[in-house]
Amino acid sequence: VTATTASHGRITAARRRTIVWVLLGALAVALLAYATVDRHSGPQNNSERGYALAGQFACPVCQGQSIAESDVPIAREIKKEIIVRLDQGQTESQIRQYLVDQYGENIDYKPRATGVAGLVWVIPVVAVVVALAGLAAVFRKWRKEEHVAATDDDRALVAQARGHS
Amino acid sequence: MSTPPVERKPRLAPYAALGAAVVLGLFVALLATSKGGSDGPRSALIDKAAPAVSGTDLRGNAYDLDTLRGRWVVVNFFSTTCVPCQLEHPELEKWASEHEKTGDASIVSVTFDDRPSAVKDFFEQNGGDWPVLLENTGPIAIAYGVVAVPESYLVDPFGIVRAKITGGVKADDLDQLLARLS
Repeated sequence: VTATTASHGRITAARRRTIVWVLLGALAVALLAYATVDRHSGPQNNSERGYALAGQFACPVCQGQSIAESDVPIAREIKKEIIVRLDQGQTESQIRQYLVDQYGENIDYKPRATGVAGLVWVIPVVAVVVALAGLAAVFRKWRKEEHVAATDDDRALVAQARGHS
Repeated sequence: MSTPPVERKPRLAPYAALGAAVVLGLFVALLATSKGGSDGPRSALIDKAAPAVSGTDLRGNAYDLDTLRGRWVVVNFFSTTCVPCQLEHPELEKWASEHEKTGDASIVSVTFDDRPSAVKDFFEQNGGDWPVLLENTGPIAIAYGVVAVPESYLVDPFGIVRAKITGGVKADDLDQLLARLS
């Protein structure tokens, strides 16, 4: 009966741990989702959309400034052009493609998801997965080590050692 | 009593090092194959169809680059307030007058971030009788990927952009470029 209770106790503890991990995972996902949701969404005019889009492109002549931030002539012209194209009904991806065609890929802060540049997106995910798998392996190993019980041979060895001391 | 055989624990370090090496290798491959932050005067438009250049010029005449197929055209972006633009002007004038005789090439200037009145004054004082576009030139500059004036683009007789010249042109350099690309 004692063994059964202990067994039940172990199952309950294991389940509790699983539930805690699931809850932690759900909390992490919820926080990530909350952080990535655009809370400023709503009716935006094309000037606002254009300004937001201009922030996703590097100013071609400035150091570390986006087109939205820069006030050099070419940045002003590109901002105007973005808004004109939005007014014409072009999508953000069409405008992005147009600017990349004229100025090259370096103007776009957002790396492509295809080709070698796509590794920028893949490598961090792979690194995180590998790291999590490594942690899981280590934790499992530690847990196994916790349950190591002394065998009769071990006890005999200890008794023998005590006898000699 | 026999001593139990020592079990060798699986070592994680080599696998972790291998994983780190793979990630590092992928990053190195990515950097090695990227084009870098600056590609100098190389334009994304080289060997592509020249974007449209059209509008009303300084003298009120209609201009359209597409009507000039069969001859080379230098599409020159400039501003009267930029010193390199002022310095290249006599070179453009020299080149334009030479090729006006042969009829094989011409220039069109597109103002960038400038006042029409200033451009008119500049051409009256410094000469030059090639077409100069004044109004609504921002979209043309963007279509050519202009970054900072002066910039010039050499468009071949088939309407293809063949070269980009930054920092001002020299008549002799333009001729050499034309000879090389012809």
